Amino acid sequence: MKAGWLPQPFAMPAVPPQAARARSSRRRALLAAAALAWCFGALAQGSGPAWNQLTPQQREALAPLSGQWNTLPADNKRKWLEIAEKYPQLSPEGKAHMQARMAEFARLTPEQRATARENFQRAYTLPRENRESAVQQFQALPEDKKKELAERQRRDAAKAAPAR
Amino acid sequence: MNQDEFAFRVRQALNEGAERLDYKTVLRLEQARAAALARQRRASPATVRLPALQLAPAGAPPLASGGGARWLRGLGWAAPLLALAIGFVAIGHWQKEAEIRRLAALDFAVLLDDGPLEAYADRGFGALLQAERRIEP
Amino acid sequence: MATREELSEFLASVERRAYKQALFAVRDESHALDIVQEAMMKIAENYGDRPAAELPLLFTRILQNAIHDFFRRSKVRSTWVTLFSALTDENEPDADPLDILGPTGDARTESSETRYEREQIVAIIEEEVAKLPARQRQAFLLRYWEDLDTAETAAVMGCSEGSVKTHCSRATSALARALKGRGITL
Repeated sequence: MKAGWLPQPFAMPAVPPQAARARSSRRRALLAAAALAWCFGALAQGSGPAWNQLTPQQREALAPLSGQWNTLPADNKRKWLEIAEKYPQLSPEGKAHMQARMAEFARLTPEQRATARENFQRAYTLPRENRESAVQQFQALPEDKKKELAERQRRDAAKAAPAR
Repeated sequence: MNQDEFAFRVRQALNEGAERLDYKTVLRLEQARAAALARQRRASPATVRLPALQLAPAGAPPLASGGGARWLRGLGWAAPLLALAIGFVAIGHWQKEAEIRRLAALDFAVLLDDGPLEAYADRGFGALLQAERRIEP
Repeated sequence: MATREELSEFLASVERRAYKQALFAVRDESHALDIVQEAMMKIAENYGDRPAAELPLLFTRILQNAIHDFFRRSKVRSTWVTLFSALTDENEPDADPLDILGPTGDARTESSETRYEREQIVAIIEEEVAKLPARQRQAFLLRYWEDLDTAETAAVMGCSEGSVKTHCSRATSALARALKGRGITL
């Protein structure tokens, strides 16, 4: 493309057509590579920030997890950091309450955590009195009865699954 | 004093009363709020549009004119495929982020609650909760 | 569409008032908490995707319904309370409110009360609000604490705007009378 009309400082030297095409297809390849790299970057997972890379506020919120933090998968870390963000808004009682349970919750197996989330949501459709009554009943049960109930629930859940 | 003025002074008193809740009640309200937020109805990721990836409309000559990111046009024929790939990754990424946020809200509520974790983590407890449900009208 | 932060902020701003209103109606702390819990759940589950500006009125409606449902479910509405409300609503003479409410701009400012005295006064006002007949209290709180206008209040209560005004003025004179009887001038 002739650039003769541009004022002298901006004028580019004339480029032969073949070189221009080669340069533009190289640019295309670079752009494509960059885009693909972004894709892979988004898909790939590092192991997330290490404990000493967290801010003081995050470390304060997640203090009960300091021991196990570096063993957590990246997604779990992201989830806990989201929780840490909401932590400052809690009342002092809320903060104490949450920290008392954090370590135990993080140590549950993924299956136990999934069950806990399910049971919690079910529990919160009930008034508090009924929730507390269910807890008392459960804690009064002998171990073998608890196992029996758990088995029955597992079978019921498996029966329901094919229908989904 | 007219009715509005009187009512205003009552309102002031009521506001003061509302500020003065005991710490236990404050915690209960926090717990209820966290549990509610964990169930918030959200828009589904499929409705999120990704404007940067919009290509020229279907009938037009491919990438010849109109909107769409100019750098995509520079890629020629590879552009639609690449845009699609990026689109899928972006949506998948977005969905994963949304899922992490959803779990964070839920776990936040579980952590704040009183219910013992070893009860919640046990499937058998679910049976007792269901039984309570049947009693409740 | 309300973000999680907007819904969270809204609920945080309204939860104490909501709890108090439920408490005035049902006179039991744990039932009042259950009602607030239910209302928060409902708005988040069913209306969590509405624009933030719609949340206040929605929540007011949901809370009033939850209180109403509580009474319906518990069937605790004792007969004498109902009769009493009916009597005070229909048959009380409409005394001129200006007679009862007292003079304006009295010299006593809040700083002349100690904090303890003020707390006592607030507690007494709350007691008397709780004693109001249900419809009068509802109208009064929706107008003067939730800041709904007459039309909105009428819509929430399912009555005419004229009824709302009547309920409000009766609530005001009942409160003024009760507070005067307990030695409180606002």
